[in-house]
Amino acid sequence: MTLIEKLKNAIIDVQPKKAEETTHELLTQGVGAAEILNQALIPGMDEVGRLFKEGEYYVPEVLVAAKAMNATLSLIEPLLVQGGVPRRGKIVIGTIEGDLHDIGKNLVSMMLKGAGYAIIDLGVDVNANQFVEAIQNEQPDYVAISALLTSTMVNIPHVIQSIRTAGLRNRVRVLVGGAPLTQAYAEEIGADGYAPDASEAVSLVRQMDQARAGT
Amino acid sequence: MFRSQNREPDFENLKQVLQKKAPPRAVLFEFLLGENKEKRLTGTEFRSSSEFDRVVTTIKAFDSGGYDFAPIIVRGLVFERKSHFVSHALTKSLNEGSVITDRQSFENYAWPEIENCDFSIISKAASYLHPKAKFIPFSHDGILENVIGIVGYERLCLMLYEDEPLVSAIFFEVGKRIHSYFKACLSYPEVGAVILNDDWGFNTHTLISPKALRKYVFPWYKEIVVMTHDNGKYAILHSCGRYDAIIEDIIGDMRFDARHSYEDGITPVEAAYEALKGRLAVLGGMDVGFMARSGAEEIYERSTRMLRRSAGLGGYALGSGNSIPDYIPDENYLAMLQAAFDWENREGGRDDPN
Repeated sequence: MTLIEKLKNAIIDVQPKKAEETTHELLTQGVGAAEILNQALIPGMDEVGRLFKEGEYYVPEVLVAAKAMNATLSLIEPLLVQGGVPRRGKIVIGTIEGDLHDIGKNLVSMMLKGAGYAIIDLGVDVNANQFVEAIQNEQPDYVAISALLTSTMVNIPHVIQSIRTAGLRNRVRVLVGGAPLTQAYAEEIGADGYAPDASEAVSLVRQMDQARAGT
Repeated sequence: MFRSQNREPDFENLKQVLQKKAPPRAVLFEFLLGENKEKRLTGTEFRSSSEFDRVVTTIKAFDSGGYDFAPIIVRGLVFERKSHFVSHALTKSLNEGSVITDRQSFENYAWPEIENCDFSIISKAASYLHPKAKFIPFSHDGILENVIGIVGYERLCLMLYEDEPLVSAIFFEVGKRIHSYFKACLSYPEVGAVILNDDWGFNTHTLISPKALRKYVFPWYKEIVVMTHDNGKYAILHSCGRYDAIIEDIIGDMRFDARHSYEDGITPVEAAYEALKGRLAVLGGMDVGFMARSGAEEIYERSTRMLRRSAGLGGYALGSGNSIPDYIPDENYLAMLQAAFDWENREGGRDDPN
């Protein structure tokens, strides 16, 4: 087994310590940060996402796998920046105003981070102005908005309207998710995409990236 | 009084449902009613200035609504957590309020004691209960919910991998107290069943793996259900979230009599009933979002269809998928009740005078 495979397996097998040690070994051997990212970290988290989607893994396994991923990322991130390795895209994410639930949003953040995206997490109870300000400052490719209840999801259209009013709607894709949301509701409020869970969120963003690259 | 005078509460009807049999008339089940709904059902009799008033109001509301029981909680067993108050927030996070972060904070935690609960409220309030109705007690959150409350969800997830002995110790402390709580409740003759309320999942998964649930959570409930049955009473599971992976544990291992909490986004009650009928009583199931957004006529029709579906085999009581929060319009809630009241006369209920 190569060290790259060992690192990938450490993430899949939810072993943060082993992931960190193996990343050190890889860097000592001169393996590039981009290779570690693309050959171990992203495929490892993809497998974790697949196992979650298929009901083999549960949230604890995803969180510990994400901890393993973060152990690696904290070591290679400065090298990626130094080497000018671009991230796959930037995503601003937050839970909608009035809503303090963060677990679904955190899972989506972790899986997207594991898929190679830069994540700007605005936290919970985020209002329309805060989303607009973050788009202006961070210039993300996507804005992802989460809601837990039917009573809070009704605030999402206000965010989309505010983005439109600020003249930013064509610069960013709006993704929505959370227990009460559906594809039909996403279309009704003018969002660009909907994902029912964290692994689907990664698939959705990748599909949208591909579609954008193809146009 | 919203129900008619001749629809008297009688726990025997719900008992038939819990035994997976067909009851002699449509049976209603609800876990919690919003305050405004209780006001609507009790009218001028609504009182809430003391805990006892609140209990009596719930008894009267459930009687007025046509139920054969009243839910009751005995205050005092509260696992303290930090509160993070956001005035305009409509939700809270499962990560909020964690107080046990390591072995030391576990040792220092002020565990609530069962002696704080005054169970005599059950017998005192029983004089307000219809003579044939029974109480169904529930607790201030369940075992997993309370552990998540004092540890925080994400911290618990990590702790499951990083400090298994501490996880075991926390579940033990919470589990034994919930067990004692229900043991005390079951000693009252006015109690006909218990609601073991503990959310185990969300829309796609259980909150922790079935393996972890089997290790830390289910053994406690198995014991409580045995104790309930030994007392000649019935155990109702109220647990939100996806349950496919643990349904055999619920039926075969823990041996619950009934399950409550269904969502259209997970398993609509019609599908749940078809899958579970004869093995586990299905309670409620009219999706809360559906009840909030649909018209009263639509709710009446779906309720009637559900009663028709279960008429032959039984093991079903009509109610919401979770509870009746005040954002469900009154007319929508009342339409569901009306469907139950009309059922006997409309479609050949057994006590149809015609």
